[in-house]
Amino acid sequence: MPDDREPSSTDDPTPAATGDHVAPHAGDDVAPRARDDVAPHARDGDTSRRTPLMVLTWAWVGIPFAYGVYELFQRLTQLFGG
Amino acid sequence: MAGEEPHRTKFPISPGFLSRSRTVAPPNWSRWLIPPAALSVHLAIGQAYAWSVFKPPLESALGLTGTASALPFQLGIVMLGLSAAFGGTLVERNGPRWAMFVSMTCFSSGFLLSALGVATRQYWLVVLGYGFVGGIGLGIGYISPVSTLIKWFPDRPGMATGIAIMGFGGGALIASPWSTQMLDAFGTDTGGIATTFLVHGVVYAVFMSMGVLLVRVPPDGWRPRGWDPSQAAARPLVTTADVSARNAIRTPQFWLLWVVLCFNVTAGIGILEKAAPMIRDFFVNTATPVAVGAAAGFVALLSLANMTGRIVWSSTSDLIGRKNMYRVYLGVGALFYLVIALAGNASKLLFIVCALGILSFYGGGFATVPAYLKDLFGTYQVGAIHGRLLTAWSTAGVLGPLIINAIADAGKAAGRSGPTLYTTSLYIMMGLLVVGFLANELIRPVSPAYHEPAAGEATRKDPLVTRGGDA
Repeated sequence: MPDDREPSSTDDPTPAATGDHVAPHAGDDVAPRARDDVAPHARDGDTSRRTPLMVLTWAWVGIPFAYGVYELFQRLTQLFGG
Repeated sequence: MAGEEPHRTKFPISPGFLSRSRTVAPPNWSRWLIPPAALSVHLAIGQAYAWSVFKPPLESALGLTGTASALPFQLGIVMLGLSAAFGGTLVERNGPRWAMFVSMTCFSSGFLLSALGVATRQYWLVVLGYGFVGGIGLGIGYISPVSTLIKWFPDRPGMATGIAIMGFGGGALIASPWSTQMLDAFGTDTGGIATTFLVHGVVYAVFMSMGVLLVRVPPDGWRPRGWDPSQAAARPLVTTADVSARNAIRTPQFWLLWVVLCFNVTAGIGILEKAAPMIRDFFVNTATPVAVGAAAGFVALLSLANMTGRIVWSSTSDLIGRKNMYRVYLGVGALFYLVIALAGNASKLLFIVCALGILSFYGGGFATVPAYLKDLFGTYQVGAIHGRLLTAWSTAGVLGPLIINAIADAGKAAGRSGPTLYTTSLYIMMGLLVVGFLANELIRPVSPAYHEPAAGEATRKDPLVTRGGDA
């Protein structure tokens, strides 16, 4: 799935303008928040490094979910077909 | 920021790793990592709907009645509603990682306490553990990703919350066979049940920890590529303003939506609660009666429709609008009930198709409501508002089974059989859906009097200082 995030230079970064009103407190170790200072090529490279994480996390939830759906269809087959 | 200092004395702020500020996404973070984080919580807590797997073993091992063995689940659902309603503001303030951590801790601890309770034959510990402590995990976990998903997917809020809330339906699909297999392996005596609970507690803690580690909130001002908020706001009912949770419950829109959700859920539970006996009673005097096994298959199909409706209809609402989507849920749902009532036992296929439609709308109603709230009240405290709205679910959970069971019991006492046992209930459900439809029609944009002050106004410094006097 694509990373369709885009830093917007026109955004008003104030909390009030975005609906996210909880600003970091002094002393908090805040992740980098700058958007306009990230070069597009750097973002693309970072995004490609996220691909294994993307696969792992979707598999983490997808495999148990597929197991549940498989068991459901097994039950349906037994009941209506067998 | 000086304006925020008073929060620290009034509300607990989560420290360190769990704090909201530590979960702000780095610039290269993909928003498609947020749905699996949400699913890791919802797929776990959805286990609640598979509690019935534990009922027979508990009854035989501890000598309980059916009513007693249902207590942990019932208390869990009550606690879900209460903790979602009263914990919503804390979830908004402390952020999704804190909320998911609390949910993980409570839900897993509930299983561990239950294991101790069964091992020591102290059933009250099972009720306290799974019902009370675990129930808090259900409520906080249910609302934990909602606000974050809506902020990451402002262009497709229905789809995003639909994925998570579909997970709650899918949780039972996973837990039901898994718990059954574990009980088969460990045994159904007290030792076996305790071990099963212990494994559940540990495995769910590990499974949910992925969500705790992975979840991120978008940086301030972030928006998806090519998405223009002004275009979205041009649609009817969609606002760019923000309404606090405290002010939201003072608006008629909140209570109209409460009625919509409550009656839509009541109508769905009306079928879900009695699905197996209902399909058997309907066709008992026909040439093709429904066997017990086939009735169980019908219930499984309903679960699938419930789960599928959550993602399909909620995503559809992004295209046709929330109000139109609820017109379908309530209007077409009422028609489905009418068809079942009029057709009686004339066609099994028609009965099954209508029931599946009703259940898909039931699931869709749950999944679409966070996006409807976002449209009406903005993203500011949408998670907290959603938590308060879930009291409609608790009410419907009592109302639906009460109506359909009471009428069916009275019908049996009067010597009725077949579809006539349920005719009155079906018309009542249809009536409730019509009332819900009218409530949906009355929903208008929220008055600006309830909006939070715009940027630059002095009172905006403290998000929880609302303009109560305006209401």
